[in-house]
Amino acid sequence: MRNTYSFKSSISPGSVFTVFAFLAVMCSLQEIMAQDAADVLRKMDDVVFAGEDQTSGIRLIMTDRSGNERVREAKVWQKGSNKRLFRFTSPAAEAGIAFLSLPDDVMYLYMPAYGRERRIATHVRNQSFAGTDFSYEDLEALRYSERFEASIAEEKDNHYILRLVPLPGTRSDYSEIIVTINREHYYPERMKSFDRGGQEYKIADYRFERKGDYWTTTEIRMTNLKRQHSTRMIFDDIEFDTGLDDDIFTVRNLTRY
Amino acid sequence: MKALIYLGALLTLAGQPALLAQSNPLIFRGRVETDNRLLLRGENEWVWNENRLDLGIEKRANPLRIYGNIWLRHLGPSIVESSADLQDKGRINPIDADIRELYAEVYGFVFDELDLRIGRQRIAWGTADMFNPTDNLNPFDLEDILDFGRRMGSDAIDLQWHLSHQSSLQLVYIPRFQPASMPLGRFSDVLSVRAALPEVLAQAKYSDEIILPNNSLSRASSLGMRWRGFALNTDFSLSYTYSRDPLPLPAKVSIDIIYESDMAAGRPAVHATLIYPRHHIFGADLSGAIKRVGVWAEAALFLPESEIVAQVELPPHQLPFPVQGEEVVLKKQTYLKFIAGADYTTTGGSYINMQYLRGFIHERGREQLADYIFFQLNRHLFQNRLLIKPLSGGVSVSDRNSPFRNYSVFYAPEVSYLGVDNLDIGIGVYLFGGKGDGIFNNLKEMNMLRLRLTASF
Repeated sequence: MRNTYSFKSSISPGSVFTVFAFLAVMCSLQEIMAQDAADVLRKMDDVVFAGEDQTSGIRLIMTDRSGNERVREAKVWQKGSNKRLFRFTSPAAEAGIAFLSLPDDVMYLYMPAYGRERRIATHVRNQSFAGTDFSYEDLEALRYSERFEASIAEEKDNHYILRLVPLPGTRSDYSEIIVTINREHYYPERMKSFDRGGQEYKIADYRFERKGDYWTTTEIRMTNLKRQHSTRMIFDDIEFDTGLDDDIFTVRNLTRY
Repeated sequence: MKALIYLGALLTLAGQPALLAQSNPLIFRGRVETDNRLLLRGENEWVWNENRLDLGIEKRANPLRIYGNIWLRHLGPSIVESSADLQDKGRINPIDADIRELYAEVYGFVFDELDLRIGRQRIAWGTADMFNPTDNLNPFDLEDILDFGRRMGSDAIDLQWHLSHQSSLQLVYIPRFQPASMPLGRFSDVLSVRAALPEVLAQAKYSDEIILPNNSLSRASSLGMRWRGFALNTDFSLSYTYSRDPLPLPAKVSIDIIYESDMAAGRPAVHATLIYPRHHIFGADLSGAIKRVGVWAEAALFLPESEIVAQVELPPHQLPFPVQGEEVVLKKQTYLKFIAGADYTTTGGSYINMQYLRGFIHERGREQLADYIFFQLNRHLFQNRLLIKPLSGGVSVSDRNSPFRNYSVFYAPEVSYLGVDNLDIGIGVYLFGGKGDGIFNNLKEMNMLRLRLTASF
């Protein structure tokens, strides 16, 4: 009781106002920073998903801990920020295997050997796509700002460093992503992902180049820290805004191989 | 030889200047496979030896696509019975050519939304793994009893009308009837009509004749239609098929007692006349996810067009065992085959797949349907260089009232080496057992080791 009285007696109306003002300023600052972080993430998305559509060839070079390399080649079609078709062209054993990502977590896999497509359930999202260090989730064409809540972890002269955590109700196998964003052009330079247990899981290093009106990814190096295995995804023959038809992103087209 | 002629025709067609003028080149792709199995008992007899060139040829000249898939194989041991056979390489090295598919396809035929495919083709319906009760247009290819899901191509006209990006209507017409191919060599009795004879006739001398339907549109054709859609985050389809059963049923069974010179008592001899009756099949399937688990289900309601009653002809003298004069082989009543399955991948990367099946491919009529559970556990090891399948197999119960006296199991673990691109080398065993007359128990003398290699190009 004594302590309570003592406490009460030590607070003046002025100091109460000061505390509330401080809290209000802090909340506003936090909101402003969160707002800034969300804006930065949206701008990053605008760069990553630049253009109405995009077509490119892809070379995947997988390197194991002993330095042995295996190569995969594929072609990718993307429209907007939620439709992507990925089709392997080599090696022969995997040529024709295709993956279609559509809005609302709908994904299909086509295996030519079976002659029919297969819906992919969400348990596959965290699995390696065809032995690479990219998971099905990594290959989905979905805007980060629609799946993750961003906060500024650090600001540097040339970079924003954001901390991303999945929005409530979002299915992700990453508990957290720390993304380093180029301050001038807003493209990601590095993403460090953490698994659900909070352990460091993957690091993706991005290389962007200016192609016409857009900054575009020319290479992603994905390193799986657990497997000590990495995959370089090298993009070539990149074309923007060729007017890709919605028919490309259908099961009808997926099975045309 | 016929297959080689078709192959030549395909290459000639694909090489036409009009087609070559397109930017897309003629594509060859395929696999070289060898599959060898030997029994784990006795003298380790080889029970399967197949060396296969699986060749796919494709030419695209939008909106036209031409595709062929041909198997050239050396299958089985030498068939040499006399010195004259040694002059026939076909008997020393039995060669087999099989046209699996050979068709032309037009995208946007007449209307943008309509696709047409004509020729020998695989029409794969259903959503389950390997066992698809709704997949009834292509006949079973059961020559390899361990490859349950394999079908032969059918000469068909296939029209698909894409009503929207997530909905389509498919119409298939198959003008000719093609029976299923049956298991080869040591496995030939597993699904034969002989295996279904009463026990008293199990040792009987068996022969049969097959009456194929008249090779006319009205007698030999099949029809199928399927509507596919997407709702509530689930793919689904409804289908109807009017076709002939690709597995034969006995319409007449003659039983006699034969007396051979060295036998004091007579021995029964059975001669069966086999037919391929028509049936209607109403199918439905779906695939989707519950939480993070992939799920699928498939059901087919079979309605035989007529009751099949085998007339049993008895010999003039009395048989030493009772046999009815008529036996209902298949009632004219519906029966339902279905499958439901789920798969899941653990965070550690193990893939688990389980399916429950009611009614195996050879089971007909409500009374014959048995229950099956199939399971699989796969895991990649050593940076994807090894794929192990430590739990792979199935359990069947042919009589629910006494499951412990009527069950059969198979267990087929395998290890595959995938360390070199385009190469897959596997070693595994097939173990069978059980009690009663379950299909896997019928193979209990066939426990075997399997060695296989596949190289893709």
